[in-house]
Amino acid sequence: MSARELPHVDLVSYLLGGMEDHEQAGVERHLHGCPACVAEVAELRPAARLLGRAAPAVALPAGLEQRTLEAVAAAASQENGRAPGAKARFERPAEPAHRAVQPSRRRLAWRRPALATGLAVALAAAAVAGSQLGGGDELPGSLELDATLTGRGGQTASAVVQKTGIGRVIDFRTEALPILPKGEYYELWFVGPGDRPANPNRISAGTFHPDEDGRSNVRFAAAVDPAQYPRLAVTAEPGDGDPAPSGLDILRSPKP
Amino acid sequence: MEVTASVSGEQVALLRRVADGDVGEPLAGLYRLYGSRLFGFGMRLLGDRGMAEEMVQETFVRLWRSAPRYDPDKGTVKTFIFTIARRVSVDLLRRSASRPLVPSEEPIADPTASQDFDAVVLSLDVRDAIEALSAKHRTVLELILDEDLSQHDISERLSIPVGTVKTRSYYGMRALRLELEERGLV
Repeated sequence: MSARELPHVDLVSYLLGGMEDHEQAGVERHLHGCPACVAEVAELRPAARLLGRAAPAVALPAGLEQRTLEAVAAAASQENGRAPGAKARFERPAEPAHRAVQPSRRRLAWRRPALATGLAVALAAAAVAGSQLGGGDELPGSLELDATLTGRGGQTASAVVQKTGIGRVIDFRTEALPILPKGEYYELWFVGPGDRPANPNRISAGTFHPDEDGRSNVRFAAAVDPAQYPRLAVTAEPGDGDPAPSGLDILRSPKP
Repeated sequence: MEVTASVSGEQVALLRRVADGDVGEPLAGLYRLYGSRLFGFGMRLLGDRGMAEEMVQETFVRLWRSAPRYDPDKGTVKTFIFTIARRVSVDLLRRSASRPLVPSEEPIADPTASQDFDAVVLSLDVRDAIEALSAKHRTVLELILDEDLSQHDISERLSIPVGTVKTRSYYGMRALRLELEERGLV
């Protein structure tokens, strides 16, 4: 028997333990007189042993590759101190920043199926969220959303979402937002259809703190598609580590 | 082993390009090689799809940062990547320990225990080798292994002759051996 021909007996079932006792005994009798099959068993046995140790098959989340690559690109952009650009080549800081995984609300939200299932979210948003910008730096990319958010008390905010080569960048500005108690902060959300307090369908874009006059000028990075989450909302959140939106929207953009 | 060395050399080349600042194709190449295994790793260690996804993303972010420090003389790209993944998993578990979390599945391994870690990585490598087989080979082997079906049962299940089942299972095992060999596992 050559290695490329079928063995004389069913060695696969023999090796994988899929035989009745009498069948197994028959194979073993054959092996006593067939060096070729003995050699075949010796060659396949390691693979058969490992086969039994295989991890179960796991279905990968749709779009994970894209989100992962966007997260790296966003981190690279952020650490270079500039906005994400179309070219996927970046200079690394001389001393790599050891950013531990932080308990950001942004990321924790992924663990809530009602909030997170199958949604395209950029991991790096948390790293960028809350960065106060001097303003004025123009972004390359195409405009996807230009929204005005309003509140019951007359407060307003504006958000401009641009799609760049590696994701989305949101320039967000507020005026005259109330100062929150210590430990609380504002959070900007992308809101999708059917969003309800009991069954939220929204993705956090990040958190921010206005200045003493209630003004904010913040840039967030995210990968949320405004076509799927066309409204924006702002909530006030306690620093309790709970990723879910905690209350009523303070600011909200109109339905498209 | 020549095949394994060649595969390893390609991965080192990809990582060097990442180290040079290219977060495009080489990083995508490494994701295609390791993304599935890393997600499986996260599921095994963290027991939650959301956390597993977060782990994968953070692992690649840290891989980008750490790529210049990779030294092929000290270990393979696979070891380098899974070491990062383990650290990320530990960070995630520490974080979640102080927060309420209802995992969809119980974590089955402790990422801080090297024995568990090695066993999990091995099981994922084997799964990766199985996934590399043709669908015909993979299906027959999985029916034998997972459902304990006889070749006659498989013949009925797949509506193919018993002889075809024997052929597929044998050549499937041989193909699996090659895949395991390429990964340096046998």
